[in-house]
Amino acid sequence: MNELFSWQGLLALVGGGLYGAIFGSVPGLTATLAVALFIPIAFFLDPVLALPAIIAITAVAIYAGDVGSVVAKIPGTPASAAYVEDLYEIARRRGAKYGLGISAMGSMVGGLIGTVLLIFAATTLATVAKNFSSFEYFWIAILGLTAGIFASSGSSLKALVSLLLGVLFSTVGIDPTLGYARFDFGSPNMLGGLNFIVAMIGLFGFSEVLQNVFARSAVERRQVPPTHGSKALAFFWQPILLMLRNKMLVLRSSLIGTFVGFLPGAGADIAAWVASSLQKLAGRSAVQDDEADDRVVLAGTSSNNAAVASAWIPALSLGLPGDTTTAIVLGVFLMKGITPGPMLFEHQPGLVMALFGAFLIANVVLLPLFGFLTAYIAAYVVRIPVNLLLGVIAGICVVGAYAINNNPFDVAVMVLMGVFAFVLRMGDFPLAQVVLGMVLGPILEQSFMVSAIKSRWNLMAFFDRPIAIGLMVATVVLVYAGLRIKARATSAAAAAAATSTPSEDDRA
Amino acid sequence: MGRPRMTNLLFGAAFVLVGTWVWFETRGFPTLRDGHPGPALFPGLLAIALVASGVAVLLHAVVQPARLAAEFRTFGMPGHGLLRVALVVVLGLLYPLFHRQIGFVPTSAALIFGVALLLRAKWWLAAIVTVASTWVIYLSFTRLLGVPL
Repeated sequence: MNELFSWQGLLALVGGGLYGAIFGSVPGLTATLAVALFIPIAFFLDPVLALPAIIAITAVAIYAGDVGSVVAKIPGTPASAAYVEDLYEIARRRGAKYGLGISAMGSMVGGLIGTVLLIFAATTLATVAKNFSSFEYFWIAILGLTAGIFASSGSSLKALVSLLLGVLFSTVGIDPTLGYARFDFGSPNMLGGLNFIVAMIGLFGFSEVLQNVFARSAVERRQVPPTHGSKALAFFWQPILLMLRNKMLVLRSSLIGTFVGFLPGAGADIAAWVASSLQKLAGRSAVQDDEADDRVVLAGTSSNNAAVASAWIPALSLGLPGDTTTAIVLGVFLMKGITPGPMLFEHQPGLVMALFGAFLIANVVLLPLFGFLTAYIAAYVVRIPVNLLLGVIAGICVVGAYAINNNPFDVAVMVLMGVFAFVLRMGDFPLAQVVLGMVLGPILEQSFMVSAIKSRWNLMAFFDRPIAIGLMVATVVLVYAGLRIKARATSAAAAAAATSTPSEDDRA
Repeated sequence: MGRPRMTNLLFGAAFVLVGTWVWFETRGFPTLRDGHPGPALFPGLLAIALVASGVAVLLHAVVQPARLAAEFRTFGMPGHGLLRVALVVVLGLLYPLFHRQIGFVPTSAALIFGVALLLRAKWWLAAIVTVASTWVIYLSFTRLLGVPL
């Protein structure tokens, strides 16, 4: 623990935070990639320095994924894609500092709640995670997809179509049962499937460029909204007041993030989708006010950072990765000759304490620090005339797509995804649901096929296990609530339209 | 038939066509050794769902044209707009197609400069931004982040 507070320890944390802020802000450079590129350096560092640096990288990178959403409506990481439209709208209306303030403060509290549960309930939660089989994962994926359909502000039919297209994209490449190549068109580049980060850059980033070029609507400088009070007030104080007004939402979203995060293979991306979708759904049934978007972002951002901490629960307690980052972390453990698992808490208490300390520092100090820094920069970037900014964004889309695998083929996929999204936008089909389908599609297919084969195609086995039944009931309740809320919203809109349309008598 | 309704019909028909193509494509996929469906099952189910959704969009367009007309925006495709989009797509494909021959800097600069000009930026301002941003992107990726471009 003392090493964490030495100058080397603090340098590792601050350096990791800065590195994570850069990676998270650039579309295509994810937290996982940042950690993967850090491994050669981690090899030469003491684990008490290397692992806290990884924690700082991940925590700040997941937050910094929101910077691209604020500047150009391009989520920097998949975890930010769940609420990109809402965050962009907030930044347009109330400024980049307020938007990123919600994101940073929500991340801080979510991260803290996840850390507290990591410290006090790691072993218990890991036991729960151990009870999750492919049947439960199947229902989790169904629940997430269902939430995605009803979270769409437009037509549920269009959201369903977008989701189906996303899941269809996820079937490209080698299939999980026989290793058969599907829809690869004879190209070896397609065997690994379509990378959803590449797709995300095309869907959100490149399509935005195409949309603006098509309509030539971006010739004006973006209106920068007036800041109410000082910069610190917009970044720190107003978001804190928002959180105090929505305490239960932050707590609920953080707990959702913690729950999804500690399931091996789930992680921050899915956590953000589930929490923000539920909030969108809940928000539609409540009285609409100016803070509806703010609450969606708060839900998403607090859940994804809670998941960052809780993904370490199965990694530390069971030696199972909670997400891709902790999979790399487990590699670092092995590289350093440390065996993760229940005995880690007994044999390496100093290291475990240093990890807990690093999580607390990353969330309480580094997130607000780098959050304010990135918000400050973003507030200037959004003042650049949009016609010049979009050119640069197009360049970043190309380089971001290439950087993921150093493969020019990915750039071509990104461009084609941009064209696909441009066409979908013409019919008001939501894009976020395409990404959700690509994220959850592989989990859905793999868990279904594994479960079906395991149960010798006795499909009643999907309804046998108590947790699976609980998740199925939650899905049915969600469908019922979603349909009711949609129906109520439609009749309210029809009534409002009837009231606002002047009658024949009025016109006369 | 008004244009919005036409748009809806086009989208619906496109989904039906894509779903049908996927369905026939999956017929060539192998089954599991015990005869149960394997790689074809999931995309096959998705194809059915996509065709059903496409039919639903088509039916909505036919049965409730006024309601769908409000939901769907018109295509409103001015020829010049599509031409500009096609130009950006070509510029975006320069890097994957010609990066070996001419490298990152010229292909990226062409894209950034092209998009700025298509969005009616002043040519000299676009040129300054293109040169500056291309080099910043190039240096930060190659030197700082270690990504070879």
